[in-house]
Amino acid sequence: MKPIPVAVLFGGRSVEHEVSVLTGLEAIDAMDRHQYQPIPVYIAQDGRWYTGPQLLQRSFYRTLQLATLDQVTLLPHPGSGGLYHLKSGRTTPISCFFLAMHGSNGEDGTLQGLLELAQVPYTGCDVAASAVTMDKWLTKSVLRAHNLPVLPDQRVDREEARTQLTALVDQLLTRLQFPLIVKPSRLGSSVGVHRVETREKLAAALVSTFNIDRHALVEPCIDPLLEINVSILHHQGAATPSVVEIPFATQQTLTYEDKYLRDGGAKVSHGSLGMAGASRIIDPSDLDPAVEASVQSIACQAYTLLGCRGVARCDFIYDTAQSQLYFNELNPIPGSLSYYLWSRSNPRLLYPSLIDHLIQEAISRHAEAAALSRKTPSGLFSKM
Amino acid sequence: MVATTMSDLMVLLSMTVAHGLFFWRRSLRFLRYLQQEDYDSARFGRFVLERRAFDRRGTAVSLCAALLSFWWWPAALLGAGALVGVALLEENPRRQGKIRLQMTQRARRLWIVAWSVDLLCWGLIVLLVSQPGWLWVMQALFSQLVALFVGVTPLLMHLDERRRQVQLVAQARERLEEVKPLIIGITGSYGKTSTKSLIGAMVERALGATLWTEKGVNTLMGLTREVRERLLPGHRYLIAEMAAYQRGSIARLCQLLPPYAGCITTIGSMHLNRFGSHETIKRAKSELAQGVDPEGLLVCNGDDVGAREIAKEHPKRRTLLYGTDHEQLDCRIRCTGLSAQGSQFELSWQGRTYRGSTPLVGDLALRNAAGAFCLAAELGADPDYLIALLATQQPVDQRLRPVVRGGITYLMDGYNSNPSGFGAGLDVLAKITANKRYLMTPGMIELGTIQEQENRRLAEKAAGCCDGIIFVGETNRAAWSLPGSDKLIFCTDREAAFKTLEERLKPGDAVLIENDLPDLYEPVRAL
Repeated sequence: MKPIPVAVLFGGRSVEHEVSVLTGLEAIDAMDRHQYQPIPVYIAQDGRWYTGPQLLQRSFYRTLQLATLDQVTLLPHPGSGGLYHLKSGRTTPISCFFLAMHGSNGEDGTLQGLLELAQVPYTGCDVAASAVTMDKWLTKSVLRAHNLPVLPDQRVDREEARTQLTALVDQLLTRLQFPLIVKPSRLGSSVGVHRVETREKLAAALVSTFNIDRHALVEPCIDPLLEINVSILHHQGAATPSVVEIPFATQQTLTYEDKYLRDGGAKVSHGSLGMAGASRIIDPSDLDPAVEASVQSIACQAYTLLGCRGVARCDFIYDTAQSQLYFNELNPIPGSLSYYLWSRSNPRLLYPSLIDHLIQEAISRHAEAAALSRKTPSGLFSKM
Repeated sequence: MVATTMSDLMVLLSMTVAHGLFFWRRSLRFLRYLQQEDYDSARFGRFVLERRAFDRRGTAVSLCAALLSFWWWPAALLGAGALVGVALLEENPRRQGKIRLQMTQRARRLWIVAWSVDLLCWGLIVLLVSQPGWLWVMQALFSQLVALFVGVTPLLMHLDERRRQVQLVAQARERLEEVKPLIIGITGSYGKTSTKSLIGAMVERALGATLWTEKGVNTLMGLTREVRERLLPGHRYLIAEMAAYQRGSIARLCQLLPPYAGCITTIGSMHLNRFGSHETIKRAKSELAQGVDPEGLLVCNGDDVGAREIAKEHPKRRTLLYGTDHEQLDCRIRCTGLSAQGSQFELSWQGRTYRGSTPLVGDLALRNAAGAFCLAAELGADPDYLIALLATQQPVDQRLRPVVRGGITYLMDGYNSNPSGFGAGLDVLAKITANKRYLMTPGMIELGTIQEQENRRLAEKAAGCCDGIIFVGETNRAAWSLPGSDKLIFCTDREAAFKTLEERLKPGDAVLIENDLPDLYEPVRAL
């Protein structure tokens, strides 16, 4: 059987651009070439789409000679057939768009909107689930309404803060006590997360957050805490959890560096492995089984409530002093697609199988969506 | 030389190919220098003469080929091969050098015209000269003329460039009319790029969508391009750095970009060699104050005599002075603590004292911050928000930016070439905690008659606070040759200086990298 062409999209106009490149290249490396023909599509920081075999070389990204690539796009109407090459005018047929995007304009429903308009199969969450899960405040609001455990928080709007920062800080401090965590409401990969203990640092953290997001989310900082993550997959018609992991943080909270710039404790660095390279314990034997079960159960509920598809990762905070578990966030396209968790889970999925599962799910979901009737009730025009 | 035999034809073709390739490669190098001289033919000519940027390799090959060709014609073919080799050895100025050649449309036009003129002249020579030996003698002459062909092209194309510029400026005006942003102009002898970055960050983050660039875009055509290509509907503010290259430069910029608000950082001795006197510099900079809307806002550095005088001579509806030292200031900033991580400060504004911290270091940077603060606050930004913003404001790259690597503190101040900035850098170096303190510098340039005096003054100051001074190049060497000082190490170029520095630096040490002269001041690599 001829391998089917799969466009792997990565990069994008996001502060998580580089992480996305790593996720994309890992996915391409792991793709079964007998079944799939991966076509790398790099979305540059200016939003232009490029393809070309050079994109498969990690060294290419040091210099980014974009002029050597072929610029492509996806036309926003059904039946456009795949990737349209701007220079030659030809079209590369694509059977599925595999999303390895993180952050804004990739994981937040905007790209999914384009793919919906073009009516092409794509992996992961749909527009609504992507948009809600990318916004931590919205996600927590939905889950809070369904009595799932989340930390108290306050969302701060940039426009409001610009005119009355001092009043807002005062108001925040009547509800929440130091130490506090300030983070952008709509970014992942721990980008822009600040732990603050003074009023001055709180104001600076808010202002700094507004450089990358219009909304900041302020939460109490749990100390001491244990971070517990679990991946969820839509499998055989239901949300299915992986084993859990406990990532190690070098500071009090897991940072971008912990996640992507350390090499899993390896003595010899072979380049970043993305999220898969972070230091962690997978399926910890000394974790209370009741806590592990709660993590898996709450994660499945959250995944289902938010209408997710594909592979997601739910992050939890466990307050070890109070023995209290809190849902923290859901990543609709997690770093490295959380493949490292599925090789030890039930069902056991190695990375190629996980990718196969995601592509097949996308294709069948697309077929179901295409079967929905779009017939316009007739007769209105005749009366015009 | 009319080719009558196969050998003639071979000589002619091989020499023309070698000639064209040599001109192509060599002219790019000269084009980079011309670009760095703002396409000013006279300044470029001076550079070529002063730096003796004359061809050696091409001429040597051509003369050898000429001598041999007079009695053995195949030598002409060998010479062509050698000239191709020389051409291929040429550095690529688009990939090498501190400031690389930007192949803009204008640069490309100039290059094509220069090459066309050269080929035309070569064609005429080929028709007139009948002997390969003499043709090689002409090639030796042409090797020397590459700089001339490149240098005179801006003159040849002056009218065409002028016509294009008028069209582009008209398009920029249309765009401005459509978007109608509030325009903020910034000028000064130094500190204008840093202040612009601070104002840009503050206005954009505290007030709304703003067009500004961190790069030093400050000429009429640079700003025209920014407006045409980057000004979008929805931009509420436009921040324009305005440089004065002569009297009238800023007035022309103000005609295109009439400012509602203006900020004047300093009236110093930069470009004194261009302007001739301090008074002329002041007059040139005061064109911004004259251009500011009478109902607008003028913000001037109150610690600077010239800027203060301009504020007095051209009052606006709101005229504000900022600084650290002068008695009468509307916005005063004071450093209360300094480390490699940044500064703590107190800022007084409208009867209130704000305390904060910032990654910026040095009095000059804090003064710029005060200027940006009072301008943004006066335009309606929340002062508390601005103070919080300062805590996140990183110094502009290469403008007294502290970087800690391997336990060594590097104060990166490569773009500073003025006495105040240099002095502020030394002050920070002296105050931060360090085992040993080093300075690496080529000194300061473009200070006219006071260049030697100012370099000597700062050399003495540096000798007082540094454990070692690594001096780069020849330009200011005499002024930095302090008699009896064992702290000075002279290096021929930047690479050698960094090597020397690396050998000495140990964890816990600090080094100020002060000023990095453009390629124009570096020794011209083998031609």
